Amino acid sequence: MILSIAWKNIWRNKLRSLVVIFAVIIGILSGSIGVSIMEGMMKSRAKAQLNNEISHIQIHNSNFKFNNEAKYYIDNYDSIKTFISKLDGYKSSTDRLVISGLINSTGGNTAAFIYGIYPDIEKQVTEIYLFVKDSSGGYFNQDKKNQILISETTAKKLRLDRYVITDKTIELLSINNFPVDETPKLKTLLNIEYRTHKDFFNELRNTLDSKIVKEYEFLLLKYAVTFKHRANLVVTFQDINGKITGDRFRITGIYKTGNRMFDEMSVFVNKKDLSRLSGYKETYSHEIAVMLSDKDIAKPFAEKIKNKFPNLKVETWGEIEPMLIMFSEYMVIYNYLIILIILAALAFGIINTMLMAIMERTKELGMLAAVGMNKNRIFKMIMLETIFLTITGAIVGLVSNYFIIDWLSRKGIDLTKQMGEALEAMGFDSLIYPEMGVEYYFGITLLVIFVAILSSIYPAIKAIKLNPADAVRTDA
Amino acid sequence: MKIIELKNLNKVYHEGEIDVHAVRGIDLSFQQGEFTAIVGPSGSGKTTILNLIGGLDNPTDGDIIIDEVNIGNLKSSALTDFRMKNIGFVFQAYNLIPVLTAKENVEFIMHLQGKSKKERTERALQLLKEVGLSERVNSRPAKLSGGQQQRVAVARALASKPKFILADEPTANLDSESTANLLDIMEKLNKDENITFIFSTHDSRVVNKARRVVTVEDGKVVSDITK
Repeated sequence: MILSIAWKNIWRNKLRSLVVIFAVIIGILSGSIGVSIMEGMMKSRAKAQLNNEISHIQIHNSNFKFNNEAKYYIDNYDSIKTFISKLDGYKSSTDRLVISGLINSTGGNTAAFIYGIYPDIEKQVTEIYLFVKDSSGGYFNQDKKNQILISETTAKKLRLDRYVITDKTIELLSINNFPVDETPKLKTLLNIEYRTHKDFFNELRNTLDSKIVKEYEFLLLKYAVTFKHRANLVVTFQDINGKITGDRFRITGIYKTGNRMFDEMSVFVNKKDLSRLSGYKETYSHEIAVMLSDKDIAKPFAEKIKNKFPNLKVETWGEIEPMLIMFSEYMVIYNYLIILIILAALAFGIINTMLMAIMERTKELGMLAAVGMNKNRIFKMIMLETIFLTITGAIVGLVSNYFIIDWLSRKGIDLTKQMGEALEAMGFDSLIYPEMGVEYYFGITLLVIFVAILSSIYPAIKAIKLNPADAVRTDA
Repeated sequence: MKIIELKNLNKVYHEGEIDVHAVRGIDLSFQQGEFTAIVGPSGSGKTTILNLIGGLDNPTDGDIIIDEVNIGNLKSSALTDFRMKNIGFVFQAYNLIPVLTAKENVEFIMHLQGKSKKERTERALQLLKEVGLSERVNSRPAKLSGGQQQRVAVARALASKPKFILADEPTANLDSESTANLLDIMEKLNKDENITFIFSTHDSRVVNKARRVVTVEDGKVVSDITK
């Protein structure tokens, strides 16, 4: 009956209770959506790093990692593969040559790690092939020699970028709310190729409203950029004897992952070509990358390899990139902290509402005490009212949150226009797919209950301190 | 049979630096089945006496013995429990729980006593019938007239089967017809079921019905007349 009275009591002043419930809903929603965006960003970053860059386990010559000297290689990949492929959880693996070198074009040059890969096997381990821009050519062609896959960032450094407004550019801009009245002006530049970023923007500023150019700068660059097709690059590096060597490579395609730092430092060539030019036998490897069925089994899996091949440097993804683990751990704390701060702010509103409710019901509470409702029961009733009020908001908030996040996780939040450049510079994709694990729903529910109980204590103490004789005499 | 005994009862309120002597050395006793009105002008101390008998307030000095228990010696929680089991209250402003129906209001105290749902329902319906509200059992207080609300309050006071009922100005907010109706019900309960009623009142109609009238002035009993 006390449960029923407590529930009914919160609806005595519907407007006031609804305001509190609405505040809790908004608080939970804003906190949870914030959490889901951060989670989405971090998970996508982690996934990209594992799938494109570091894999689950990497194996090197134990001296190689000190300064990536190519002379420290592994010469028994076949026996390693035979061993690891029989272990539980093994999914795929590949070996690479990794040599640092210089990439030159007619327009510029840049240093990078040249990864000699087996293109088809690499597909089973990393997903770089998925990030090759269709317009730039494609992934490796098996029949051709000396092909090189470079990133968009590298291509820009080598001044291979060109800028052209096409119908597709205009279509993509209009999706991003490019002003309709500016579109005809943009069409006057249709299919004109600009060799430099500077020329392109000078022309844009002459043609369009300069404010619009500034506002859409990142998107204009993103959608108008194209690259010199199948350009030749000269790649130079040290061979196995330390002599400078190199050759001409033709760009097969241009890729762009969400991590600019990785893109800047990585070019890919066929291992056969790199082996032939460098003198490192095809059976030699500088790096072995292993993918497992589950990233969480990396540690025991790595231990088994270490035991079998004690002279090799075997590292799990967490050892290669400790920031990934640190980020995910700190992110959980950070996320809960944000939710807690929001709930703490809400708690003051809840306490205030409950105090108002108690002041209005002084006489009734006095009567309850007079007829024999003891302090424990009065305390419990006020506590239940506070909890009901908060939990109602929390339930509605979390259910709404589930549907909103489900929708957002399918649609994605495109922050390209607002902060795409900054996000990509930090290694994050500008298209974010928010997600929130079930554990957060439990965690937030527990936090809400905790805050509701805390919020209820002061009003409940106020209620039990009422003197029944004074309370029944009052005009309230 | 004596059920209430007040011995040298004193109550002093401290209002700032001023001490207000609300009750001054009262000695009174009440027998089972009495229908007593405590009368007196405003501020004479009649409500204070009722609050002291009901254990809602603590005496500054003196003893309140109810059914051989000195309630002044009871701790707060024991006193609350004692009130629930032994005393029924009817307040001037009815003080029903607005979110509950008439039946639920009557059942509430039995719920506190831990009575079964069946017992609660049966007794609540029977009491509401006795106070003439069989047709309004599912109405909430806001849908009832003042007189009807006060009758629900009487039924609620009776629900716990108390030793006596304290009624503080029960007719103060009622019109003549409702007052007469309420008094008839309480008189009938007193006569038929030997329920003890102690009123504080200004109302001459209550005084006329009472079989004993205790007059209080300045916190002292100035007359005690049994008709």
